[in-house]
Amino acid sequence: MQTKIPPLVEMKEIKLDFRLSSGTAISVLDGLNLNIYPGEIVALLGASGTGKSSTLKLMSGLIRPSAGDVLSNGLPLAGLNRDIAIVFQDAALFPWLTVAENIEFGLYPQGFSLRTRRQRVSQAIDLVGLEGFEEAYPRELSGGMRQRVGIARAMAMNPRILCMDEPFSALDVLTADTLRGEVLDIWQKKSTHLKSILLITHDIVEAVSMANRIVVVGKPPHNVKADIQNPLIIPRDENSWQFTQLVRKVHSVLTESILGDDVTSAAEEQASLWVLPPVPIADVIGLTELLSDHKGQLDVFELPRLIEKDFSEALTTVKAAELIGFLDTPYQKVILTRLGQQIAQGDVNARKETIKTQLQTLKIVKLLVERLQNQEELALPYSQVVEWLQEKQPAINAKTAIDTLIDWGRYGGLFRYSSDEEMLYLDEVSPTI
Amino acid sequence: MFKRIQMRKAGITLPDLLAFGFLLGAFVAVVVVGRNWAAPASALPPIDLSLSSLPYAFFLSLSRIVLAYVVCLVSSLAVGYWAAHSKLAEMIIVPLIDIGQSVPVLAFLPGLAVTFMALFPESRTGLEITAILTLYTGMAWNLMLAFYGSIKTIPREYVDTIRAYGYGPLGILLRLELPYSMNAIVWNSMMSVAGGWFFLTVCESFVLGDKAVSLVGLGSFMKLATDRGDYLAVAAGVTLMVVVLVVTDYFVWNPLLRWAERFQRMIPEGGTAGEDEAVINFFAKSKRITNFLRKLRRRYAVKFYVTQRRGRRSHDYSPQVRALGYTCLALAFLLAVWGTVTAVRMIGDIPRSEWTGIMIGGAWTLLRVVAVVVLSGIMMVPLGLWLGTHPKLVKRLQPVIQVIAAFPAPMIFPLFVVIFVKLSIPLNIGSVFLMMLGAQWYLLFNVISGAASIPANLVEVARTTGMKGFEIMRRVYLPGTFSYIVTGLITAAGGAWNTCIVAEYVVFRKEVYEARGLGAYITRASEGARNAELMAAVTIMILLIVVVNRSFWAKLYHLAESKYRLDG
Repeated sequence: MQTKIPPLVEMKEIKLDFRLSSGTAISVLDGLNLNIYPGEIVALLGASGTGKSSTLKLMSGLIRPSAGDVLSNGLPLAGLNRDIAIVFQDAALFPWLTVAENIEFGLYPQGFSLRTRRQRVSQAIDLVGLEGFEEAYPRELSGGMRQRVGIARAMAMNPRILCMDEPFSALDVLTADTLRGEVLDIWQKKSTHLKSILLITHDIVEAVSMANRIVVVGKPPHNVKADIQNPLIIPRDENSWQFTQLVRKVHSVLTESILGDDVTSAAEEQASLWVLPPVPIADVIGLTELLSDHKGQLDVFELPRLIEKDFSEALTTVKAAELIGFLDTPYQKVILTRLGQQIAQGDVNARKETIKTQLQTLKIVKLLVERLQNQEELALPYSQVVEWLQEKQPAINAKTAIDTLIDWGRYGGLFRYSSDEEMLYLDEVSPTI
Repeated sequence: MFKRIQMRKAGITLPDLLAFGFLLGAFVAVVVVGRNWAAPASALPPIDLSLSSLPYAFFLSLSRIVLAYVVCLVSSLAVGYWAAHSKLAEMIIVPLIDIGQSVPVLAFLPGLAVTFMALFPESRTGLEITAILTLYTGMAWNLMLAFYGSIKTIPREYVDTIRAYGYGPLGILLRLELPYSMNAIVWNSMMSVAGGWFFLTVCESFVLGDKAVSLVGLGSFMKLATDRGDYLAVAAGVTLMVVVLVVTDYFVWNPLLRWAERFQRMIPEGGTAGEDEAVINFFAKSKRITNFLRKLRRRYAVKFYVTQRRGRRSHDYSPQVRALGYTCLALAFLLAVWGTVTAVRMIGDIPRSEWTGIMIGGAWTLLRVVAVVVLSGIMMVPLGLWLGTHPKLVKRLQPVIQVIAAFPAPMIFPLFVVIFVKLSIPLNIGSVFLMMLGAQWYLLFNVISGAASIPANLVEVARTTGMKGFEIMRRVYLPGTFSYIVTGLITAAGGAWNTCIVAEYVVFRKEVYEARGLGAYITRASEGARNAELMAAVTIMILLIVVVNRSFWAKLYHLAESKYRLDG
């Protein structure tokens, strides 16, 4: 059905690499295919660091892909995409301009006359209901009002696609809810040129309540992990059976893409031996305690609410705990293992002992310990450790990986780290005090 | 609404008249300065110590400071912008600024004088340009670094936003980079102008070989007055200088700082209305001019911002601009190479005994700088901590301290020499005190703001353990303000190096008082137009400063920033 209507934006086999300061390239996007059709609200859903924002920047022409094509209305994109206007997370308003001047800001480069600019500004102000705030400065506004200015500034450009990069995540629950409704209203209005909305989010309920198409993105290669249609009619009742069903479905897709129980590529498999998810060890211990309080078993969807994190963050913590052997995750359940029980119920010293033993089963830890043992002082400078890992695993962010490893290893009494000297020590014998 | 109606009825208002009067005054000023520039160089008028000559002398000095500042501002914006936008330029420019900062102003003087006197042999233009550019070399560096650093720290989402709306490089400069940096620009302008007054005496009155040049101005006035020991003239000059500092503080810097505040991202909540508002409001009431300017901007600004062409990304520069940039860089590079080669050749001819003298001088001055840093630390850290914990007192004393700090101490150095002679303190030691006058204030201000920013709960914690006064100072305030202290000490050391050229060589009643040191050596070499020796001494000075900076201060700063940060 959709193939008959030409897409507004097409992204074909996009590849995007970021070069680290060390010179190694990290692949952010690889083999990304994504079209935006007129009349759609597309939600891009995924864990942080999966290239959601990069996708948006590519689409709007702010950055170019390392390989692949971005087409706008069937033509290759040269320069900026005039169809797109962007709303950023914290609105990025200029503090020295009034509300009206902020909204007028984007109109100057288009070469509009003063008259046109005035007209556009007042239309945009009318659209988001900012009348009476024209002369206010951003610092006088609440978060919700500021984001309205951000939306008005974008809408003044008469875009066909409104791109929103986590626009509601910095707002309180009630304000966010109100604004979501207002954005849907704007989209349904006939008076604007707006055809489609691209919404970047990590909130599954937000995605299901706003979008009619939900695209789950994950790590490369082939970043689009799932493309789910949302047939529910707006306004959507969050308590309806269909809504809950869809939320569950998206949950499970996202879980798979993050925990990767079923389909993991060989490359991912190999990397997981090397890299601990960037989660503080304290969070992992906290998670075991939480599970222990719930008789050792929880539904994966209940977790985010209980630990007050968003879904992808919660899953990353789960993944970390699973890697070190404290959890199992069969069928979207999270179950505490025997070791996990020990952690939850043990005292500090018992915990440290268990974590030390478990850490030593990880390949990266084994290799690092070996390497430190070969040093005369049983120590290495931080920078050398990072370099060493980067050499072995060029595709990962070695610094983050080492930082996590130091955090865990310090807790387990495996390493000592002196930030004054920037040296990592093997904690063979406990330091004398 | 009410205001606007009132304005219309009033027609031409008093502020309007004043504003136009200001324009007229500016026109007259240009004419007066121009006539002085065009006058023949052969007949320099003698410096007149009568009080009636003071206004004209002051006016000419002011014109030099203003012109030097204008050159400084334009070049700083250009160089800072360039360094922030081109990796290659950054690699060359930032180390150059670092070196430039450590070159004493006198080092530039002979070269500039020879060049511009050759270019304008007949009129005073050459001498005036020499004085202005010498002033400039004492002003420019901090502003360059500030603008460069400011552009570099603009948050990513702002850059993305402005690019997403299709602004070209010029639009980005005018609507993001300049407003964002405004606060830093104003602060550093203040520092630069203070630096200009500081070196005024040196730049207006100098010796070139057998020729003594004294341009009419406040600096020369003060120099002659102290030379002759004319205390009445000295008092008049000092009074005028203090009045000027107070007036510029009230009418220029404070309103500017208030105005720049609104470009800051985090603006303190609540009332900004203070006494200085009065000045801003007064000028703001001249609606005719501000309205005209605003209209102009809104109507024509569009043309500036539309630089985007289809098929080109908005932040790309045109090939012409790129070519120009690379040509300039190549020229600068060649100039640097040529300069180095010439310098090495010149230095090569210097006999070994002379080198020994320079080295010993360097050691002396280094020792003095260390003494300045230690003594300033001993005096200013406790004072700053004490003041910082008494905010009400600071509020009352701040203007006074600011004027004392901004006062160009070299103008009255000879008076201190009198005291040294009376107390039979040799200048070898006394010069340390003179250098402190040019160095310690940065430390004091830093410590005050550091102490004021210590969170109250840290102090409470200390109190609950039963600690008292001195113990709390030692265990909470001292480590808590450590990064401020280090920043202050670094700036103080820089100030001490800059001041050594005026502190180690002082003339009073025609008698030369000289301390052993690199500063005195540089002054003598500059006056004797012995360019090879000058070059050698300056090179040694740069090396000393850069080596100490890189090896000692950089490490201390790193420690301060990593371990003793309170927001981490």
